[in-house]
Amino acid sequence: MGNIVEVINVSKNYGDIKAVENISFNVKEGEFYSLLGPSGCGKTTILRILGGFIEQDSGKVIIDGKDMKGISPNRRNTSMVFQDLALFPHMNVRENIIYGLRKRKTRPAAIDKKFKRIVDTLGLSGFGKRPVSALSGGQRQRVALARSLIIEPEILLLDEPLASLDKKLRIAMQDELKKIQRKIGTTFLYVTHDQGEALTMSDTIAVMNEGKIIQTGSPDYIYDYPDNIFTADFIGAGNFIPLSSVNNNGQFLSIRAEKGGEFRSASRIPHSKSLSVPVFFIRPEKIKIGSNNPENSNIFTGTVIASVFEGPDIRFEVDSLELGILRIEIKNDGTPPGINKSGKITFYWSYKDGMVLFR
Amino acid sequence: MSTILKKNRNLAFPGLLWFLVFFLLPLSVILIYSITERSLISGEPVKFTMANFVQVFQKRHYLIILLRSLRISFFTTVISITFSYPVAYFLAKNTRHDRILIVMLMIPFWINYLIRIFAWKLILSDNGILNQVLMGLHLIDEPLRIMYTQTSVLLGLVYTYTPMMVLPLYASLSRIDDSLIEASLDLGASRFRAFFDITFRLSLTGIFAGTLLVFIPALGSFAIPAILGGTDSVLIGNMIENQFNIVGNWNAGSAFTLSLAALAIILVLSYSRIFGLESIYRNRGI
Repeated sequence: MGNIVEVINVSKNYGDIKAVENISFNVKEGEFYSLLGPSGCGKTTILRILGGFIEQDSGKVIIDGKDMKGISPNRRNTSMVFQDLALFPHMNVRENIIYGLRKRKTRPAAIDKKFKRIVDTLGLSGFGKRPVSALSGGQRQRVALARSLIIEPEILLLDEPLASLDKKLRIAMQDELKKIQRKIGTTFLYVTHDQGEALTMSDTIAVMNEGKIIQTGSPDYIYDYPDNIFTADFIGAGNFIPLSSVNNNGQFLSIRAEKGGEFRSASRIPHSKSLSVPVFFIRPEKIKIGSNNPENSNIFTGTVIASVFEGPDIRFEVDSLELGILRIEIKNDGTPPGINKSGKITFYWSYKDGMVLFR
Repeated sequence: MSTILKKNRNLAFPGLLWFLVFFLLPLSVILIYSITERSLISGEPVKFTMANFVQVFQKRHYLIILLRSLRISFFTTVISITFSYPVAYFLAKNTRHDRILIVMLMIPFWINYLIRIFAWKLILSDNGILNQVLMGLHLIDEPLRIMYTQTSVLLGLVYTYTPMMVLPLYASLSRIDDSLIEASLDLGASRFRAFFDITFRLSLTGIFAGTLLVFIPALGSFAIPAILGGTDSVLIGNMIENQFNIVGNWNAGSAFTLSLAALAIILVLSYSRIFGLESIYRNRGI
């Protein structure tokens, strides 16, 4: 499948503020592509550039092979689902959904057919005559989707459409969005600051910070192999152990923590960043509690200073003299972890887990 | 109603009393005058009659004045919508200084409106500022006859009541989210269609409120036509004032007053029916 969207060296400034700085990325046809980053990172600016609401200062946007320069939103084959949904308050559900078809002068018979198909797909049958103010949050969401999807856009642009929903509904809508996207096969370009949302729905995630894309990849790749501290910290939880030295001695890295602990890692130092400060990054769930001393593991001891029960998981905060304070997360499998009264525990992680990153 | 409001229901009492005394009482007096003969305080026995109302609808002269008032109020409203819409749109959408600009819009209200109307007299009269400027520029040879015509009355009414149109329009326009316009464009509407489908439709509530605030006072106005108007621009308000102050027939004046009020109520009700404003209100609240 080819690239439906090509963004090439796009920049956009607001006065002195660089909202988007020399960004390039491609979106494949039929892909669920997410731009993930904190607020103010420029992700919404990119979306609005693609939708035609603002124009980039430099660079090119190509959609389906055509340069979009100077093409207004109503003549682009994109459609946007707005953060506040922007449902028309003076129209009922049906009038909202068929608005785009009316503007395209679609014949009434075809409008009826398409309307029926989209409300069936999205589970909105029978809602046509209701005013949009009489709908629940999830229903409004689906009306906004239907209104955009019915015009069969080449790409659907979604600007944090789930942000206003409560947690439970948000998670239900995440699953639903993904299913809808699979079913209809439209390319989705999704903007969010919620890493959980991006991880569960996306085929590809582009992590953004301060107007730049800093890492692109599949959700599992980005989670398991962040190549910078920002990504590692922004997605999921992590321990960042400050290091005093890293030496490459053949098979493994020999690492020395600032607090004195020495351990090994099978990871590689990405590229020479000799001037920056090295940090060892390891996810809390990669650290195990116990003293069964498996092969090729780093073993340390520490004192539990806090434990939090989270249902499926139990989270510990452990103070280790040689490493500093660490977060450890274990599955709640019914067997209590071996912690004695003094709170002293032994923990370990495999050489292959974790990696050296640079600040 | 929350309990705290329920408990303090009695707090409404002074307000209600005020209304009762200063609104219902005069209205009742007018009502009684309109259906009786002669003065109530003359000491003679009270005689009820419908004659006062009958003459309102019988004399052709009165009908002409009524139609003239309706026509001038209608044009006042239409012209003030035309002037106010761009101003209100600018205030709501194109500037961040809307608050200070609205205060400036209200500054003329700090000066008594009679004085402002007299100022118009200086501008519009035969050797007034306007005519002198136009003649000085050799655009006209003879002074334009504007003063003491229906044109000058219309001008005075538009001038006085246009701010009343700007405010509700501004309020309704600033409530419209820009994302609604963007959604409309995004779905394929041209800028013009998007304006008409979204902005204009959602500002109808403002137009409606503004129309009430302009049309009703214009219909009942008497000072402006009295100062700026001539013999061909007597309005209903002048006629009513005439009945009370000059003719001294309070009974006829009261019948005129109530007929005008009834007409205004009928117009407002049919107007809101035609524009289907209830549906707009019902669908709001997104």
